[in-house]
Order: sequence, then C-alpha cells, then structure tokens
Amino acid sequence: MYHIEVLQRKLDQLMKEPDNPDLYNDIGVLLYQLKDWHNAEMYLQKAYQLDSSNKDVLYNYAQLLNEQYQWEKSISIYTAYLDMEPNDIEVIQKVGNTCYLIGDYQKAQKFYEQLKVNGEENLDR
Amino acid sequence: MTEKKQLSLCMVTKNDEKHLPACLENMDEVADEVIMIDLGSTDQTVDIAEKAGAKVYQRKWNEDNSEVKNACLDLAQGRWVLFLQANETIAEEQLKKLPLLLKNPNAEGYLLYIDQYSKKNKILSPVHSLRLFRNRKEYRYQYRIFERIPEEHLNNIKDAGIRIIQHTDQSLLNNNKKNKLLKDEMAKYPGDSYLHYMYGMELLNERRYEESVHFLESARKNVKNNYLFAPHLYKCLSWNLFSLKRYKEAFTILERGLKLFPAYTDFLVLRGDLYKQDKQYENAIRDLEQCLEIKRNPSVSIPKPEIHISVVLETLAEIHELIDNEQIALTYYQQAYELNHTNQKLLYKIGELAKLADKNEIVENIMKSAVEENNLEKIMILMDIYLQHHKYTQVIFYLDEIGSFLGNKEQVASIKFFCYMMMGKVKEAEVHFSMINKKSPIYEHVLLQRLESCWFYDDWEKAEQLLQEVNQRESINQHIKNLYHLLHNLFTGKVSGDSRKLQKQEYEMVSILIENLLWKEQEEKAKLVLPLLLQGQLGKEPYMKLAQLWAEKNDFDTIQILFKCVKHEHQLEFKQKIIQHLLRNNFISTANRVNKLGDSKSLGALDYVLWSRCFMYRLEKCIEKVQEPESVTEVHNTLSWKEKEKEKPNKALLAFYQNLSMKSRNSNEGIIECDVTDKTCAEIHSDIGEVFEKRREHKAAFTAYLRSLQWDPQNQHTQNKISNIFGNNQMDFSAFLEEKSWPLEGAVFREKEEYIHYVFGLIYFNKQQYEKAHAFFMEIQDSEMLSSIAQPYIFGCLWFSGNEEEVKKQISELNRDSHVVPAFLSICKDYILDKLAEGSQKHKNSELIKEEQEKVRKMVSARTFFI
Repeated sequence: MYHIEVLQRKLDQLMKEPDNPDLYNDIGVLLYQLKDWHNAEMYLQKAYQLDSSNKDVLYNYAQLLNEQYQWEKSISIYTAYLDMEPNDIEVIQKVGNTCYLIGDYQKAQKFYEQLKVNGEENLDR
Repeated sequence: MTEKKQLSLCMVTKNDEKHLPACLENMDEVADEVIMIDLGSTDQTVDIAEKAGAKVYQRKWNEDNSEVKNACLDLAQGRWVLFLQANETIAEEQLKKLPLLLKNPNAEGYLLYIDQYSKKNKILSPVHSLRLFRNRKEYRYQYRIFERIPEEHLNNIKDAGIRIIQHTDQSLLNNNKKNKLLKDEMAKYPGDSYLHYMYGMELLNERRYEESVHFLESARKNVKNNYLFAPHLYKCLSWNLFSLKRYKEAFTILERGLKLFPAYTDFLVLRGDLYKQDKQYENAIRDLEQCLEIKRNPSVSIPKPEIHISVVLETLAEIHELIDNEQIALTYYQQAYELNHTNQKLLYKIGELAKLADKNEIVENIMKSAVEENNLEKIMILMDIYLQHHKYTQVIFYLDEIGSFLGNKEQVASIKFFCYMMMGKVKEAEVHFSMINKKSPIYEHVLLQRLESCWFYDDWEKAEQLLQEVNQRESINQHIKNLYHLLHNLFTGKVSGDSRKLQKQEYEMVSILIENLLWKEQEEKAKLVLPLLLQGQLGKEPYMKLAQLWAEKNDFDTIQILFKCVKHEHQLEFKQKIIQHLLRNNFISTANRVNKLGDSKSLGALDYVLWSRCFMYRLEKCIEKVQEPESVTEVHNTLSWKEKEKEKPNKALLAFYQNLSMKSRNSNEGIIECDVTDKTCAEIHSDIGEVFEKRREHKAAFTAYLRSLQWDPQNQHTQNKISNIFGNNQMDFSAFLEEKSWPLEGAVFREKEEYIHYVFGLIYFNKQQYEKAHAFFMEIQDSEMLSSIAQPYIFGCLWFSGNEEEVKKQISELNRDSHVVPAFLSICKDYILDKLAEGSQKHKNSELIKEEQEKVRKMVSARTFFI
C-alpha cells in the first residue's frame, strides 16, 4: 500500500515537472519494487535519457536491465556508472559476472583484475 | 595380640559327604576359618569337616533358613563371611581374586554368580548371589525360606567377577514344602515385594506362567527401585508375558524397565526379541546393537545383566539372516561362535552361510584350528558340514590327517566309501566297503548307501543283488526294506508312483537321496522319487530346502509343484528364499516367474533387487541385438563432439575462473582448487556454476551449468544441477531459457532452439515425465549429431515408459561402435541406481540392496556391462 501511495504522489508530481529525471528514477524504482518490470524499465530509460550523468539513475537502470537478461545493455550502462564510481567493487564484480554470462571472458577477466587491484589498493590504505 | 581373621567360610550341611571334601579342599587356602552348622547328618559329613579343621556345630532344623544362617554369622569371627553350599566350588583362577576384593574399603558386599551344572537349570535371583559380605551384626538374614539380607541395611554391593560352580541341585526342602513355607511367609508379611517376586519365580521355574505373572506383577507394584532384585523382577515379568504371547504388556514392562535401569541390557535383548517376533527387524537390530555398545563399555552397576553377549550376537545374526543380509549374519555367527564354542548350531550356521557367500575358507580355518586342538567333537561337526556341502575331497583329506585318533576304523572306512562313491571313484569306494565287517553295526547303513550308488551308476544287476541282501538283514526295519524296494521299482520303471505317506526317517532318507541325485546331475531320477515327498503335509522348511535344490537346476516346474505344497501363510517366505537362490545363480527369468506364483505380496528389499536384475536382464537381451560393426554402415559420426567434450578453456576463461575462485575463497564462498590446467571447458563452467550457486546467484549458476552442458551434453551431474535449479522456480527459468540471452558455445549445438528442446527434454526426463521429455527430444532429430546425442534419452523415454519393443527394434539397427548404446546403458544405470537408492531408503538395513547397488555400479563403470 505504501509503495502505491508514494507512486501516486510521484506521478502527480511528474505532471507538474515532466522533465525531472529524479522523479522518473524514483517512479522507476517504485515500479521495480512492485515488480512491474516493463514500466520500471520505461521510466528508468526516460530518466537515463534526461540525465545520463546521474549515478543513481545509471545504477538503477543497469540493475533493472541486468535482471531482465539484457546483459549487453546493462554492461554499457554499468560501465558509464563505473566511469564516475571506479571503486565500486560490488558493481565491478557484477559487470565481470555479466561479461561471463554473455560469453565475453576477456572482458570478464579484466573486470576481475580490476577488482583485484582495487582490493589491493584498499589493503594499502 | 592375635590378628583378626580375614575370611570366615560359612556352611550349612546335612548328609553332604559326597561333595563336602571337594568344597573344603577348594577353600582351604582362602578361608581363615570354616564355620559349619550341621543339621543332623547321619553320614560322614561331620567327620570330614572336623578332619579338615572346620568348627562344626549341631543344630536342630526348624524349617527356617535364616535362623541357621544367622547362627553361622553369630559364630563367625572373620572380617568377611562367605556362604557356600557343600556342593559348590570356585575355579582356582577365580579364587585368586578373592583377597584383593576383601581389601576394598568401599565395598560392603559382593555378588558371586552361580553356574548350575545340574540338569534342572533354574532361574536364580541375583539376591542369592550375595554370598560375600562384611561380618557386621546388623547384616542378618530375613525370611524362613529364600532368605535375604534386606538391601536397605547393606549398601555398596559390588560385582565380584567370580562365579560359583554348583555341581548338583540340592535342597533341604522339596518344592511343595518350599511353596508352603513361602506362602506362610507371604501371609506373615503381606504386600512384601520380595516374597511375591520369589513366589513368582518359583512358579516361573515350574512353567506356571499365568499364576507367575500375577505374583510378579504384584511384586512389581510394591518394589523399590533400589532393591537388588528390581531389574531382574522386571525382566522375569516381561519374559513371562512374552511366553504367554502377551506381547504388548511385555513391551510396556520392558520400556519401564529400560527407563529405570538403562544399563541392564537384558531389557534391550528381550525388546529386540519382541521386535523380531513382530517382524520389526530394524528396531530389533537397533536394540541389539545398542546392547552390544553398552556391553563394550561395561558399567559398575549391579546386578549384571545375565544374557551373554554370544546370545545377543546370535540373535543379531538370525535377524540379519531373516532380512537376507547373509554376509552380516555370517560375521555375527562367527563372533558368537568365538565366544561360545559349545553351541554347535552356530557352527552349522557358519557352514551354511559360508557356502552361500562362497567363503569356504572360513570353515577351512575353523577345521584347521580344530585339528590343531585335536577337538574331535568339532572336527566331526565340520566333517558333517563338508559332507552336506559335498566337499568329499576335503573329508577324505581330513580323515587321512586325523584318522589315527578317530579310533573306529570301520567308521572312517564307511565315510570314505561314501565320499568315493559320490565322487564316482567306484573302485576306491568298493575297497573301503570291503573293509567293513558285515557284523558291524554300521554295515547296514553302508549297505543301503551301496545300493543307492548302484542306482546312481545304473548298475541294476548289482542293485538287485544288494536288495536281496537288504531283505535278508533282519535288523533292517521292514518299512525301510519296503521303501528301498519301492525306490528300486521307481527307478527301474516297474511302478510309476505310490501314494504311501512316508515316516519321518523315510522322509529324511528320500530327501538325502534326492539331494545326492541332483548333485550327481540326475534330475530325471530325482523327479521319479520326488512325488513320495509330496504326499504328507510337511512343514515349510523341508519344502523350501527341496525347492532350493531344484532352484539350482533352474527347474521352474518343480519349484511350482513344491510351492503349491506350502501352506498359504508360508508362501511369501518360500518365494523370498527361492527367488534369492535363483538370483544368486543368475536364473533371473525363473526368479521372475516364481515371483508371480500365488498372491502378489511385496518381497520387501528383494523386490528392488529382483526388479534391478530383471531390468538388466531385459536390457542385456536388447543389447544382444546390436549389430556387429561390419554388418551395418556407420550411422552416426559421434566422435567429433566426444572429442570436443574434452576441449580445454582459453586463457581468458581460465583467468576469470581463477580470479572468481580466489575471490570466493577470500569470502569463503567456494572451495575450488587452484590447479586448473587439466580442467575441460565443461568442468570449468560447472565449477563456476558451483561458485555462483553458493553465492545464491541462481541465474548466473544456471547459465554456467547450461554452458557446461553445451560442452558435455550427457553429463549427469550437470543435468541434475540444471533440473534442480529449474525445479525451484520453473516459471522464471522457463522465461529465462526462452529469452535466449545466453550465448551458445561448444561444438554440438548450433541453434538455441535445439538446445532449449534438449534442456527441456532433460528436465522432464529427470522428472520422470517421459512422454513430455520424448516430445522435446524428438524436436531435435533433424541434425545427425544432435539426434545421436538425444537418441539414448529417446531410448530411455521409451524403455522407462514400457515401450521396450520399439527400443529393441531401433537398437537392432545400430552399430556396436555407436556411442548411443553405452550412453543408453549409462542412463539405465542411473535409473536402476535411483530406484535402488529408493529401496535402500525404505529398507535401511538391507545389505541385499547395497550389494546390488555395488554390482550395478561396478558393471557399468568397468564398461563391462554387456558388450
């Protein structure tokens, strides 16, 4: 119930601010939580189109695509996210695994190498 | 100052001159004084005692045991007293323990158990084992009969580890007098649990079970749990109820007894027996094994359980024999025999099971040790076992070895005659026959055997002569003469049948004759005689024994005749025994036919073994139809993908795998070894799947397993993994498969659609939904290579759903070199093993199923299945 009420409020708000990427992102996440994958993808895609430099949008959109087996597309969005957050080891691992899933072992291996370097750097610190 | 005496031997005597000297001599070294109260002996008892230095006091017998024994105690001056009867002694080596026991400051008394050597083996109470205790004035006997020192006065009683040998059963009172006194005491002390218990025991010894239960039950209601006799009371009561077939009540008493006295293992043995009676064999085994476990770590609690460990082992052996675990039964019989060499039945059982298990060396070793020990009795039993097993060469060998101390040369000659006769060495047999004097008592027995040998070797003329000789021997019973005439007439065709009922002795003679004829491969003659055994109503055992003999000849018709003679309630047991015998000889088709005789009741664990054998038998017949390589052209070139199956991964995949596994090790997610150089692509992907699975990344794991399967499409492990993950979320994984986001690799599958069909086929195949699986596999029949991969599963689908004829037809068109046949066999192997695992789960103690599992595994893994 809580999600639906929030979603209703956000949709009302969107009527007033039709170009607000954060609103699209929030709605996409709510729909994702409600397991409405198709609409969640549409809203997150719109958020991404409006602001492809928003880390949250990139993360959420890539995550959704990944869940929907759109692995190649999710890899490219995750990569854009990693450009901004190069030390997010959870995402590095995720992308590495996704590269394995699409059969790109070269790339998968590179991400795991990066994971190793990041791990060592963290240890140095 | 004189040192206080350590031990006073106390005795009450009356006309004991026969046994007294032995007893006094036995105790001479140990006892510091002998206090003897004589109740008016009229023989040499008093003189003997006085000469041995005993202090003898005369006393009038007032029919009061306590009075006399307490008088002994009043006179005794030792720190300890030991009560013995004149007819009792203690073995020398056990007596040596005595001084040490007397030095124990923590003991107030000791139980010495009594071994009765009289014919009347009575149940004795542990109360009567309290023979050695400190000489204190507060320790005095109570009751005129079955005197007892109340345990509330005497604490810290221990087990002495000493046994008294009671040479004869002697008592001052006859049973009637005893019972009268006991009843008087019961009237004097109403509600006394001890007196009720003793009276119950007396009745039990007289086998008056119903009356006994009444008194034992009333004793149980009033007994205190710290009374020395309490566990024994519970045991006697339950045993009594058991004898009356009041099993439920017996069970309840045993349960209570076990709760109160958990170290008293006799309860477990009796409960095991109850379970055995009720055919709850697993529970019986559990109780008896628990009993063995407790006995291995004996507790100090008293009284000690009475049932000897050899009895527990023997019961375990019997149960395992009942559930066809012959190997385990044999081991238990051997262990029981190790502990009790006097039990001849154990030796016969060992012989019987060793033969079934093809372990003749066991009997051979026992024989060697018997020869070394010069144990004539044991040797004779083993000879008998050898003769039963038709091991004539061994019998002759051992007769030559030990003949000198066998003494009776004619007896040796008679055995040798029989052995040579059976072995077909007629001349040697005749030499030994001639060594037996016609006046010898064994001559007639050998004469009849000689006559039988003429029947074996079709020497009818000689047989006629011998028959005349038999006629002339007056000491041979007329009915035996008539029987041998009848047998001769049956063999010579003078009569074709006879409706006479045989007497027990005649029956045994004819059975042995049939057994010997069958051993001599003369089934036709055996069949002529067999009807003689079918006239009377025999028990199940003789029919089963006969049927086993015919089972060895794979003769279904005769087995069927014998089956019909067995009472309805024994038919299942008959079937079980005979089927097992047939399977042991690999007569599978006959075993299956026997299974169909009579009611279709479950054979228990044997059902699974029979099913497995029949399955393999039919498979064997089917595979025989596969053609030789030259007879057909190569149908499928399957080598290419078989080689690809072994392909090694590229560097990038290897590096990814190593990093992934390293990461997993750091976070304790996986257990993957570092040396990966030998791994194939299929193995690497499978390992990756394991890592993802442990991380609960099921889709990634599913993808990895799918990829592994692309390299090695018939890998059962990978197939199971895929089926399991799929089964946990069918909707999601169906969608995932249909989505086709996953890439294809490997050399087998070129189209995702084909691979999806293959995967769905496997999933349904593993779920035993063969019709659905078949439909999916048939979808991928277009490509030659793919169809060869799917073909074994298609065969499996058809075979497992009962369409064996179609498989036979298709398989007959295959080339022996085709990989389809071994792959199909491998699928069948897994199918059989799954079914056997199900059986093993249901019959947890069944060695029969375990042996079958081992057999199936070995046959296929060694690639020696059928081809």
